[in-house]
Amino acid sequence: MKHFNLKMALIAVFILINIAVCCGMVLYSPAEVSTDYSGIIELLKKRGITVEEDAFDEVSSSVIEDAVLENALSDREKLARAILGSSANALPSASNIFMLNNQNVVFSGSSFHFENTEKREEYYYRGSSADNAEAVVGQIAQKLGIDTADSLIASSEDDGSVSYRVTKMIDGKPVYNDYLTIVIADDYLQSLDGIWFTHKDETGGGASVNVNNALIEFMNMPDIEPNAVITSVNVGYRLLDDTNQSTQAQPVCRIVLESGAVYYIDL
Amino acid sequence: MFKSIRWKIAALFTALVVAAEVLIGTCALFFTINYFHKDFKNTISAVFTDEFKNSLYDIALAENTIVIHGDDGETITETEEKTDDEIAAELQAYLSENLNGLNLSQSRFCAVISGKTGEILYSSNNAEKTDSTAVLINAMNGGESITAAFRSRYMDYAVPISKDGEVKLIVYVKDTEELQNSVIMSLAAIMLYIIAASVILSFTVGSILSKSITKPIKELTEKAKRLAGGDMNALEYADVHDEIGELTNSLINLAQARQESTDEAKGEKIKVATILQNMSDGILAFDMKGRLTHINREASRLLQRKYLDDINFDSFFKEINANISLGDLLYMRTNGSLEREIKIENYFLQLNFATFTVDKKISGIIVVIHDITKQEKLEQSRRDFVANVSHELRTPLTTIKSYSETLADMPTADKELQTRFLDVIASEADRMANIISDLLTLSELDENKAYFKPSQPIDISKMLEILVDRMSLQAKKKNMTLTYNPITEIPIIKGDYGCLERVFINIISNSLKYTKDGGKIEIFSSKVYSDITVKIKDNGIGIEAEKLPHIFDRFYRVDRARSRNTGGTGLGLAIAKQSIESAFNGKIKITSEYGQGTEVTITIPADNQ
Repeated sequence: MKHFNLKMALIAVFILINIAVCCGMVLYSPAEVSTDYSGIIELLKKRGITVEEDAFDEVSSSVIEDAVLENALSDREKLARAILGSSANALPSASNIFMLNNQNVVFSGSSFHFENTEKREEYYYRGSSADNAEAVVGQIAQKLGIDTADSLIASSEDDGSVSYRVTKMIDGKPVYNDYLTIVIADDYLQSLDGIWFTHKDETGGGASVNVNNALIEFMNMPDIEPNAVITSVNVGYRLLDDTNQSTQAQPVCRIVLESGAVYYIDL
Repeated sequence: MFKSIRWKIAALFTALVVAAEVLIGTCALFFTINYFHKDFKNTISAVFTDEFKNSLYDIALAENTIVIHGDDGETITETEEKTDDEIAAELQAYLSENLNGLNLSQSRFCAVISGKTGEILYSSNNAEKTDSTAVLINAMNGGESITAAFRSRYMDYAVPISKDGEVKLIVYVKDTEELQNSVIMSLAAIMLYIIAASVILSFTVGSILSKSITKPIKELTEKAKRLAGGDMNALEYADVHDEIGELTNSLINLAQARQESTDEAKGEKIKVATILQNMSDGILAFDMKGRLTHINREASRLLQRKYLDDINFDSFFKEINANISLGDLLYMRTNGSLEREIKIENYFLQLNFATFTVDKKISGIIVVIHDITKQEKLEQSRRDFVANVSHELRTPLTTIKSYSETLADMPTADKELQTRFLDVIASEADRMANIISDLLTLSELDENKAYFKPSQPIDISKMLEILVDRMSLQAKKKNMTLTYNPITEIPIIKGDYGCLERVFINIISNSLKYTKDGGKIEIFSSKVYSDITVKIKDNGIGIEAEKLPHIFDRFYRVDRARSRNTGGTGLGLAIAKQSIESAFNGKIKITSEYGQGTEVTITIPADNQ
């Protein structure tokens, strides 16, 4: 074909131009999040606060959206009957307590608490362990009528009992005060408590993820223990008010100290 | 539609224009961003000179002087550190007066920040809070730095003011790039409008430009189609010497060359067809499926078939006993041929089979039919002649041999017997000599040697008179009458006298031999128009009608036994016919009625000079 090389050269130029444009666009797009924490670590160190090397979570987004959540366990009777049995009813003297066969579920605001004292069939979860956390949590969630698909499950075993902490996640970020705690001892449910708000929608607002801001605010807090050691710095949410049917989740930075103290700083 | 070269050119043109614009636009965006960053750095460098920074330090690090009036009236002067708020207030006043060069606005502000807490103590845009950027944290750590990175969302600069190693205040300038982003967005929007407009414009212009190229090509294509259809006037030589003009002229030349070669091929085809049709040999052509593709007239005649169009190779040649099939020919070596001879009714035919190739592949079969009937008959005559000669010579030889052996076995035989035997031997030897003599004569006549003998004037009337006179004694012995009757005067001709005399003698001798005693032999001569006619008529035994056609054949005898007894060689009439035809350009004809007599007519052109 005549002028084949010329045509090929033109096509190559065209492709190169487009590659250049694409590269330019990528280069131009501002850096999402700065992951260089050396400056703030140095500053904290000057103020007597040590930060562990792997304390920082990998932050992938520069902005965290506000979110609205609603209580998935607002029907107390339904939840109590799911736990105790279909005949469970609230006590006439205390409407926040549901009882059946000497067992009760106690509600406080949006949270509930159940302490099992009997080894009955419906509380039996065979082979419960930290390894099959998802399966056990799935069974209990199904019983309670909630969906734990988008959640973080942490488990620990201690002398025959297994504890599961199921924390609600929004876009991969935990809602720190939206969780269920399940304790199983000898394959029988020992206790079940917590709250469970699920994601409804975004408010349209949001906050920029600036961990430096949070750490400076933390640094300026008056009650920081001397020679504090920060072991973990995470970004997540906190429910602003867990007493209502629906509530807003506030983007926060969670700072955990070696002593176990936890600080939530609004972003 | 988009297969057309017109749209391809237009699309390519548009794509190139868009690509160029995108490239220019991208460069413009990058240069703009770079300009803002450089401008920020230059501005900071211009404003925050060492002198300016020293002034800031002076303000920040200056201490308040406290004058204390003692009871004794003594005045004591003491100094104390300024509070951050005091310093910030002083800095605010100073900066307000000296930061005109920074072009501060809502998006670009200058702040005095506490080096301890990071709180804003003063801000030119009244901001209460600002992000703790890397530059700010660096300043809190005591470092001065500037950020104007390409991928950053902002540009900022911070200079710490420290005392005793402790950062007391930070002067911080931050540009949120709103102006830059606004310019970039406007520029990008303009570029998008330009690209959108140029897509339309370049496609329109491209299609118009390409049309100017494709239109002549389209017209040329149409004309070329007409040209291919045989319209030689569809194209005219172009005066314009561009690519289209050259293409037009090339097409015309191509068409003319093609026309010439087509005419030539047509002419060749007609020529070959004419040759084939008028060949003395028959020609048949078959394709590889055995179907007849060509036949000439001679083939139809020789094969005695009117309709041969639907014949098949194998079945046809099987039918005429040629004993050949397509398979025999397909495996034949290249350029080879096969030959078969067949007989159809009275025709002897020789068939030559050969394959012809196109592009080194066998494409068909050619069959050439030779009529070899004449050769066959000649060959038969030759065989008969040899057999006859052998037979005629063997008979006297056998006689001579037997008589001579008998004489050898009887040495005591009487002289009379010996004489008789020797006479027989002599007679047979004469006969053999006659046969050989006649054969030599015939041979000479066959080779036309007689014709070249010196010619002499011949007076046929006189010759006949002499011959009649000479042979009348022989006739009288058989009580026959031999007469010569010249009807008209005959002109003198030129030729071989002896030859003509031998012819007349031969014919008159035959009449004498085969006419019964008391018979009558008449000789007439005349000149009719330009021919001299001599007629020898007898009332002898005559010749049977079926034997008449063979009367001039060599060694043919009507009555073999009788002829031999009369001393004939069987070559007389053959010699006579050959002599008249070869030496005198004449004709000899015999008519006879069995039992009634025979008439021999010799016609010689009078002007045979």
